[in-house]
Amino acid sequence: MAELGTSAMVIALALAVYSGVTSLVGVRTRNSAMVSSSMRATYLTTLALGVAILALVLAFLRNDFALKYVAEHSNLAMPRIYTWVAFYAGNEGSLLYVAFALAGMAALAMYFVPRRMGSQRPYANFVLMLILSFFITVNLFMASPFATLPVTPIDGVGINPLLTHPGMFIHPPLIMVGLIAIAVPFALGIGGLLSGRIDDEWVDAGRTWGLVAWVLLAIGLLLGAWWAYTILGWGGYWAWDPVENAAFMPWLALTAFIHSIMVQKRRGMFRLWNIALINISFVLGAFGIFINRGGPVPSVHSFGASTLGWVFLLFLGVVAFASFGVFFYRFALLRSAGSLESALSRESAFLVNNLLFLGVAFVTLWGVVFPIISELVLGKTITVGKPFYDSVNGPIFLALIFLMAIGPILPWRHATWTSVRHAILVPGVITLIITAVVVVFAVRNVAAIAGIAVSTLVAVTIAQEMYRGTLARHRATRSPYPLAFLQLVGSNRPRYGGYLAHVAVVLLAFGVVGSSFYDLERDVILSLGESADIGAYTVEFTSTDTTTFTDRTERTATMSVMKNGSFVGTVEAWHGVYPSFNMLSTRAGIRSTPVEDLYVIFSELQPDGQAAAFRLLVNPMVWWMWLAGPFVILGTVVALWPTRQRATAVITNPSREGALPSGSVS
Amino acid sequence: MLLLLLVFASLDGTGVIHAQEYIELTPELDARAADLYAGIMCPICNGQTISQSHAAISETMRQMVRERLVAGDTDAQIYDFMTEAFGRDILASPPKSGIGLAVWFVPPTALLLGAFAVTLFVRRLRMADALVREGIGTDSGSRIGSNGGTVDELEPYLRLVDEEMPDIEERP
Repeated sequence: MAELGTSAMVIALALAVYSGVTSLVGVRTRNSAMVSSSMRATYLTTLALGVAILALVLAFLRNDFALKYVAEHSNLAMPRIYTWVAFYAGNEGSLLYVAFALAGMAALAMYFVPRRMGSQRPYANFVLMLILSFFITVNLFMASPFATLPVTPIDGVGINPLLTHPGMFIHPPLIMVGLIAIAVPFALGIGGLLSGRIDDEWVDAGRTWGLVAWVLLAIGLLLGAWWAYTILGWGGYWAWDPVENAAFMPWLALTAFIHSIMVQKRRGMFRLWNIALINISFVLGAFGIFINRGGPVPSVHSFGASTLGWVFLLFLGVVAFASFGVFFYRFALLRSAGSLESALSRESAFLVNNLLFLGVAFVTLWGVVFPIISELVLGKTITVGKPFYDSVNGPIFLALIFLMAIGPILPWRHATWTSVRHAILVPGVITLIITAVVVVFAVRNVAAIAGIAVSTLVAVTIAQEMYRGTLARHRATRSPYPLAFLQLVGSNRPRYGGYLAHVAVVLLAFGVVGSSFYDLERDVILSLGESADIGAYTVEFTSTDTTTFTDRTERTATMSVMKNGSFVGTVEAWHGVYPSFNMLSTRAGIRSTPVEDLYVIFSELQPDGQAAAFRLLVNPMVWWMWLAGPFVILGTVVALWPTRQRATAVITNPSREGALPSGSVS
Repeated sequence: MLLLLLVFASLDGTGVIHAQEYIELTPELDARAADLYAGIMCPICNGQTISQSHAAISETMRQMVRERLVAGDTDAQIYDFMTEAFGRDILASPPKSGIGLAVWFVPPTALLLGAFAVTLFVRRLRMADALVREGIGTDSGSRIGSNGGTVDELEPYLRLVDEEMPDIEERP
């Protein structure tokens, strides 16, 4: 397997280098045969890396402990299903996975990119293959999953027990693929610049792939939060941990990008700015990979020292330098078409949106980087944690949510105050009423009230937009309301897909406000049969159960739950003690309802076995946060769903270069 | 290292708080305790606060916080007490003094500068627009006015939605 895997990776590297070189040479010498040959090489790279992946999977399945990586991350006792997780449990395997994902997306992007992009396409391919070659090289020569041990051990070390959880099947691969996916829109933008053609042709493909990376990261982050909430046993879902932040920052920059790119798509403006934004996104993505795979900061994600820190730091430096180098080299070409008719318009709303998103990204970057600088320069250890992020990013998020209510109702080019008043009147009044009710009955603090007010405003604005639009459609076409609604959504998919994603943000906002400001928390010690009150709940410790396995001791505490004096059910809080790993793993007992979650953590059993320490929490509205995931996906699908016009445009608008064959399939 | 949030805990047992010694708090003090826990790092765990960590030392530190709360200390006094015992490194966010000032005040400054830059940019675009108008006379008539006085008040909205459509269709 080692030989097969290594050979496949060598072939993949050769193909990637070949593809990159022929793309560049082909497009410079206007040799279309060479360019289409480079495209075929791109497609084949995926195949070669697929073979390498298959070889590693087979090695895991056959317990091929001759491979160092397999011996370190699995053993005979490991259920085969965990091969999936063991595969990327270390740098070696995860880099192979990242390379494969990048190759696959590069192939898809090159295949589906409109032929009318002409010379931008081979330049984009060149950039992608350059990045891919870097990853394969590091993977092959510095962290090969196919490195063999001098002596084949009888059994492997085994997989870290905390990895053997369903949450681990989706969250890490989504984040990794999301981070590297930014390379595609980045390459399309930079490729366009390199080609010297500064028209807006890259915008559609760039937006599509920007959204792909964006949704992958969004779902990856949400799953991480969900996983932390259910498994980690501290009642929270987001800790502003450096590794979380590292995935969050490129997502923020991408969010700015997918908004701002619409201005270029519709108005031909912000050309310069959009290229800058996608550069920033990819640089932050490279920073994410550095933090993530290079391990320069202490994080709860830390899992052992990485020796690749300097490699990824170098990658980060080269990406930052090269991307902005090209940017300034072509600076003069990037003058925007169009001008701003009014400061009160959709265009300026997007500008403010960009400012705020980059603001959050900057604050977060500052918080991650400052401790590193402080350590290096001043020799002082400083932690920049949750209190900092909450108090600095919190207000910016509030402003963003407020903007989410105003921005979409502003028309392009020019809005009047009268039209804004007209659109905001009903939502404003409803928001005032709801906020007043909250102030009277459940006032906590100004931040909570502001959060509820702006989130409500967005929710009502979106509802009003949908309602008015459907009504208008219905009057115009006489279609029944449901059909009129679908016609409305179909008439402007980017707009209504965006609204769906905004609904997701509102759901998240309500969950965050509810669980941050209205949560209850108690640490208690209960003997069997004893009970504790929290909020409206009474939780009784009814029984405990201990099962000992060879590698762990599992304990379950069964709690019977009364709400307002009547029995509503039982919850089971679990924890496992792993002596060989010196670890305690907990799974909280959660009774989840749309109103609030009752959350029970079984911290430890007293030595006498008759009493145990628990942490009890009541977390309002967390349920709504998980609903955000489906809305984000649905919104992205709606926004990306290809329109018929675009398809015809491709056919009636043949490649201006005329050189690139359209059927270059491998 | 992996994209994982892991619970590492020392299992030496020295930090076990026995039921007899455990200090139970009133709901008000519990709420304050939760905030305090979230502001103090576990000294031996990677990037976890004592609220998150299951390590024995975090257990002990939580107990210390509870003791101070029951004794009637303010939050500031408790932070002082804990940093005296464990060092300033345990603060989850730097204090707003000394080098910590930079941590807190650089981001708002950067944001203000950004806002200033955006304002300048908008003004420049507006001036470009004014020049365009002088050149071609009036603008293209794309303004969406409000005529709330018409019979059908939805009409302007319908026009707005329809007006957006050709934009999309004309762009391939």
